[in-house]
Order: sequence, then structure tokens, then C-alpha cells
Amino acid sequence: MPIDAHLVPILRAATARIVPTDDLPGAAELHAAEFILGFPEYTDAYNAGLAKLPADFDLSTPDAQDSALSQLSSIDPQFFDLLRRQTIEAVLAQPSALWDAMGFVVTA
Amino acid sequence: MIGNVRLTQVARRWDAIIIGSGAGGGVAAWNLAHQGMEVLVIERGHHVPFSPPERDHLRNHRLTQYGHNVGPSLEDRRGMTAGDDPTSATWHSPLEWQYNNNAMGVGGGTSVYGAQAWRFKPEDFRMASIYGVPEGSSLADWPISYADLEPYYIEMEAELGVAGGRGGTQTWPMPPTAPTVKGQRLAAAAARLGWDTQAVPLAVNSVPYNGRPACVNCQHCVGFACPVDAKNGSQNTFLPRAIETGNVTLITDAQAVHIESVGEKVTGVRVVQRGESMVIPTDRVIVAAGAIETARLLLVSQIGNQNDQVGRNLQGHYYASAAGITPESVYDGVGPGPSVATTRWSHGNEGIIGGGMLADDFVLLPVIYAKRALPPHAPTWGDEWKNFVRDNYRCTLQVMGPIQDIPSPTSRVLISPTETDAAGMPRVVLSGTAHSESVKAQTFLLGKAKEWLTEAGAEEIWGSPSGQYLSAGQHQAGTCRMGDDPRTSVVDPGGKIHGYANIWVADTSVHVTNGGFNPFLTAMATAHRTTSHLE
Repeated sequence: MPIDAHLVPILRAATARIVPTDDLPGAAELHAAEFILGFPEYTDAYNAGLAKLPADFDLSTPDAQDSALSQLSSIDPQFFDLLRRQTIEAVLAQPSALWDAMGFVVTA
Repeated sequence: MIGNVRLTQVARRWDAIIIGSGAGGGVAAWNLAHQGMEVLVIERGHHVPFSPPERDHLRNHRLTQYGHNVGPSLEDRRGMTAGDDPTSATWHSPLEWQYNNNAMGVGGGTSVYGAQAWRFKPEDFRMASIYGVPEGSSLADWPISYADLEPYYIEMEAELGVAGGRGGTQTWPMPPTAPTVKGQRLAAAAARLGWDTQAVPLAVNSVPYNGRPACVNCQHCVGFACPVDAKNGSQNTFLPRAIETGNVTLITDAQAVHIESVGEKVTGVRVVQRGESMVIPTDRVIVAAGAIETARLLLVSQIGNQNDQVGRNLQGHYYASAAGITPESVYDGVGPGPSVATTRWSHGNEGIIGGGMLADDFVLLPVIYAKRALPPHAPTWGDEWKNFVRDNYRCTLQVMGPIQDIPSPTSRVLISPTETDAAGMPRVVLSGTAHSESVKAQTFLLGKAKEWLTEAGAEEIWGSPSGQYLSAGQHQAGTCRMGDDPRTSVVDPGGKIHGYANIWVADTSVHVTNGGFNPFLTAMATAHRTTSHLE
């Protein structure tokens, strides 16, 4: 069972605030939402958790999104931690310009 | 013969069957093959390619977030319970710490380990004599001394290939691996503190050795197979040399589920491979399946447990681990990483039983850094998090080391009376927790780690004791302890199971105490001593 289609834009927007894009790629460019969609075992958790964000979350300003995420982290810390953890895993477990900026260079 | 061996092809009588192809099993196979015995090695896992096509940072033996590169199967389960009742267990997958995973494949953990090749110290064999026996513990001396084991350590270091360096009177077959910026900074700090340091001995080729190349200093050592086969383990040393004699057959993806016996003699091993089951007859059995699986197999087979000792004294290592942030970059990305250590705090610490070694860490993968090496007050998401990891990865200095766990008889391996695995073998249930003296030693060593980091110029320093939990994991040991008295031990000082004529244990299970060091070299030396003159 995939995550509900109407929640997918919210997932994309939420991951893009967990690891935003600046001069370096963020969750959007590193496809964190696609990574998360690849774990059917967490579908129920994401359906329930993302529904706790405002229905227009993906259309809100970054500031409004950040405060909605902060609120989520206090009302459902367990889900927020799953979202945060998987977003960071998606971003840091693959080679990218972020690795280069951190200094992690694979030589062999 | 490597790989693709079917059960029907090994259905004959063997001089010896070795169960497990890891640190102990490889050495046993090598010894027995050179003594002219016809040997069957049974391995539950399969071959691990030394040059993996990809390195998955979320599925390896350093970070088993979603899987690992070497078994066990994710379908497997182990139970955990507080008391003695295995029916009250909660069940855990190999991805959860409660499973106490160890790599399962040809070479056991040695194909993906960090390869820190430490000898235990002379004091490590005499802990009860030195410190007394704390209440609730089963602390005891080994029945053999460091001096008994030393010649075997030396032979193992040469045969395996260990890179060392300065360190008391000891010398190593190869010079140390590359020094790192972190290591040099920590060595200078230790010198100012008056602490002796040494290069970390690693079973990694610092120079070409025994026909394989030198380490290329990559960033993926611990948790992964080596991309150039310069990391030395059972799979590229003892096992192939044993097989080259023509006397050894290795069967993979095969699980020993029961040891058959009549009176004091074992007669065969029941093996399951891909749903097929067969008893294979043998004149001798060497069990080297790791401290949890060895105990499980003996408990299931009702061998050696006359005095209710099999599976007790399960111990691994508590780790003292501290980190700090330096004002400037200390990162050079030169692998494997551990390049300086001190054993100054292994013993002789006021009010502490034992102690441990401290060393710098392997090159940290970015995702592991973000999960495990950020300070407690670091931002957790957003722009601030991103800036923090970008700016601080290169400035993170870590010091860690295993402390000598104090064994408890109540920390143990049990078997479930109701739950069985895919091969029909009763599942493992682990029980008990660490002794409070282990937590005390961990807290002490943590203080020393922080002192070292402070002297090395780290500014924000963190790390806290881990509380009490059952310690086993990759350094699991102790479940078939060696001793003179069958009432308090499982094997005799030669590694033979008390009361039996032809079955030995040759892995960390026999460790009476597990040293304040990574234990594989001691497992190899002990296995070597046990199997070099087998009757």
C-alpha cells in the first residue's frame, strides 16, 4: 500500500524543510520523498503522521511550514522523528555535493 | 572446494567437522588440515565478495538500519527476557540491538570487521586474583596465563598479517597503517598528559603481505569488505590455506542444527541446507559458531550442560565513547582510521575493576556521523542542521574503547521451548543484564576519553554512560568458559568439553573474561592452541 496520493506533496514539502536546499542540494534534489516511499512498512505511520500537518502545508510559506513541523514534533514526536530520520538518511547515505562540502571524499 | 557444495556431496565420515568459518573455525580448519585430517567446515552464511559492487551506507555491519551486507537473514529472530523464563521473551530482528547480531558469512565477522588485532594483557587472564570477585559476578581467572597464549598470539599475527608499531616490547609483522591528522593530534596530547600511546594494531596490510596488496586507505573499512582485499580475515588467510591442502571441504548456506552423541562421544552433526536435512558422521567436532550460536547448538544438543553452565556468563563490551569539536579541521579521510591508542587505563585504576583501551575511530560515514556523532545540543533539522553538519564533520574528534565487562552468571543464552527457526532449530533467547561494575568502569574510562579530547584541543565535549543493558553484540563471548572445574566451566584448559572425548569449542565462547580489547585475535590464538595438537 503506497502513501495516500494527496499526502505525497505534503511529504515532499516536509522533507524539503527538514533538509532545505541552499547552495547545496537538499531533500528535494536528493529525492528523500522517493526514498521514503520505498518503505511500504511505514505507510500507515506516514498516512497518520502527515495527516497531522495542515492540508495546505505544501502551499504554505517556508516559515509557516517550519512552524507546522515544530508543532508536529511536539504533538507526535515519534512520527516526526521517523520523518526526520528517514529524510536525513536519504540525504546523507548517497554521494552528493553535500558529501563534498562536508569533506567526505571517497578515494577507492 | 569453495561454494555450491551440496549436502549429498559431503555425506561421508569425516575426521573432523568444524561448525563455523569465522575467526576460530578458520584457524581450526587450517590446523587440522595440516595435521592431515579430512575436515568438513559448515558455514551458515555464504561467500562475501571482497570487492562489493556498491557500498550501502544503510545496510552494512556498521549501520544495520535496513539490512546488512553479511547475514543472518532478516527473517531470523532472537528473544530477550529479563529473568530465566524463555517463554516470556520479546522477539527481535537482526536489525535491532537486542538481537546482538554478528556477521554471518564465510569468514564470519572477519570479512567486514574493523580488524583491531589486540592481544589481551597478562592481567586480563587473572582478574579474580587481582581484584577479587564482586558480588553477583562470576569473575574468574583463566586456567591459562598470558605466557601460555603468547606463542600462539605471535604465530597468529604472522599468519594472519598484522600491522602494528611501537608498543612496549611487542613487534609486529608489518609497520603501522597510515598515521592520520587526528591520530597525530591525539598522540601529541597524550604525550603532554604523560600517557603512553601506540599505533593501533590492525589485521590490515600496511605493505603487500602474503601475496595480497597494501591497504589503499579508503573510507569504508569497518562494516564493509575490503575493495582491494587488503584486510586480513579467516576468508582470505586460514580458510583458503586450509582448502589448498586438499583436506578441507567448505559447505556454505548450511546450518548445523544438532550434534549427535552416544555417551561421552559425539558421532555426527545434523545439518540442514535449503530444506534438506542429513546427519553427517564424524570422529571429532569443533564448535566455532560464535558465543551465542555455539551455546545454542550445545544446549539444543544437550552436550556439556551437565552443570547448567552452557550459555552463562554472556558478555561483550561496554564502550566508553566521547567526542568533541575542534576549532579547526582534523579530518584527512585517510582510512582505516584508528591510528593511536592508549592502554594506560586497562588496569590499575583506583576503585575500578579493570578498565579498557582507548583509540581514535574509523573514518565516519556521513550518515553515521549524523546519527551518532552530533553533540547533544546540535540542531536536529532545517538550515541550522545542514550548516552544522557541513561545518563540523571535519572538526569532530572521537575517542572510544571497549572496557573489560565483568561477567554475570545470569547474563545468558537460553533456548526457546516453543519457537523454532526455518531449519526447525529452537530459537535463542537472551537473558540478563550487565554487571554494575561494568557501568562503573565505563564511566571511569569515559572520563579519561574526555580528558584526552580536552588536551587535544576539543572545545565542546560530550559522551555519557549507557546505563545497564545486556552486552553481547559483535564482541560476544564467555558462554562456554574455560576452566579446570566442570562445576563452573564448560571446556577444559585445552578447549575440550568437560566429560566428552571428542568435542572442542574454538571461539570466543571459551573466554573467561573478554579483555578490554577487541577479542578476535585472542579467539584465534586460543583456537590455535586448542587445535594445533588435537588428539
